[in-house]
Amino acid sequence: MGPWKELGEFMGARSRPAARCRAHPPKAVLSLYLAGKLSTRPEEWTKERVQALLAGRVSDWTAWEVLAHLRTCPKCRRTLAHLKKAGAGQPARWFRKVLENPKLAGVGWALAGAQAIALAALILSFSLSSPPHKLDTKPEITLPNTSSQVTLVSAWVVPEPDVNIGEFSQYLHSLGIVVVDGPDERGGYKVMGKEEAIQSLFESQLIKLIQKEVTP
Amino acid sequence: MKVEALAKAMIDLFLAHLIVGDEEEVKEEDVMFWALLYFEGLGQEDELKRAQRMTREILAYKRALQRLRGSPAGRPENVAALIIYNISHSGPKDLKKRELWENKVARNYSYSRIRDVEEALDLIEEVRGTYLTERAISEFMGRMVNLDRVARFVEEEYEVLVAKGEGNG
Repeated sequence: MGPWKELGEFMGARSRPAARCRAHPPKAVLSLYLAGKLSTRPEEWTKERVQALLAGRVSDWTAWEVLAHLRTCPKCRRTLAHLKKAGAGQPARWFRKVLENPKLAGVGWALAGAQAIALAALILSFSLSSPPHKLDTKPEITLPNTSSQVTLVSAWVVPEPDVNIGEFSQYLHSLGIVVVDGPDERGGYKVMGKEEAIQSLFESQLIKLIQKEVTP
Repeated sequence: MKVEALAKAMIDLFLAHLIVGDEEEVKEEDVMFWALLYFEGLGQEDELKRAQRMTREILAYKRALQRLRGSPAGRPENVAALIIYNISHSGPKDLKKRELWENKVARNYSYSRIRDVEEALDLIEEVRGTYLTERAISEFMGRMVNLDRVARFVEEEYEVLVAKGEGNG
């Protein structure tokens, strides 16, 4: 009924066998999507952006793009369901404050559950044996007080593109934060330190993305 | 993933926005962009003309929604009812799916439960190929809907777009 010719053919067309997606939005992006913290859509869609989307080279995923990707990618739908189940859409109170801070719009975090605690503990023990960071200026590794009373926090941080890595490294060092892994494909580093130190890092202008984990 | 799969998902998203009555999110340039990518991706002839037609069709639903929203007695959700009806009449007939759908509606599932685009996208998948009757659609909407009448509105808007040459990207 009504003008539905082209749309009718479009809706009725048999989907081709789903090609396996090789590029996916990072978990941090899925968490931000769940928390409703992604911008709706890009300023403009271009063929270059579409190519970048298909290759997973987009750093500023938008809600529309994540949603469209989810329609075509069962793997990411499973990941999202897992994140939902784990409560990734409901950040802890202190982190919600960070998210609500307009200066830090775009900053998000993933999970602070038992899995994350176990993972962070593993990474901590790994970092004691061999620090695998690749920053130009390697910080002297001075681990924060690891008594059971202190909450250690690990996080993936991505420095702003124009930030000098040496300067960034010094800043981390001044906060007593150590780099334990990285860089990853986004140019991100896994860092670890006291909760207050990581919070200070949140508030700095040097990073564009942070994904936080907690370990006792 | 192929480009047409992404474009198809985006076009579904435009329809989902219309279903939830969020027509402002459906922008002509975006619809044309993805429609063109979709037809180019399929590698068929006349991709530009087909993309223009699809864009006009989508924009006609958008305009009908706006028109009904602007009318004192207008019921914009009737446009959503027509879209759902048309989607249900697309693709191969699936009686099993239809039965599942009817059971769901009998268990109190209705249009009022479709609160966001994600739910509208699920709805699109659920109704495609169910070939629902006007009565079944009305039951889902919670009241009788005269789909012929809504279709006339949308056709009028389509003709306006053709006359104005809009939907050409």
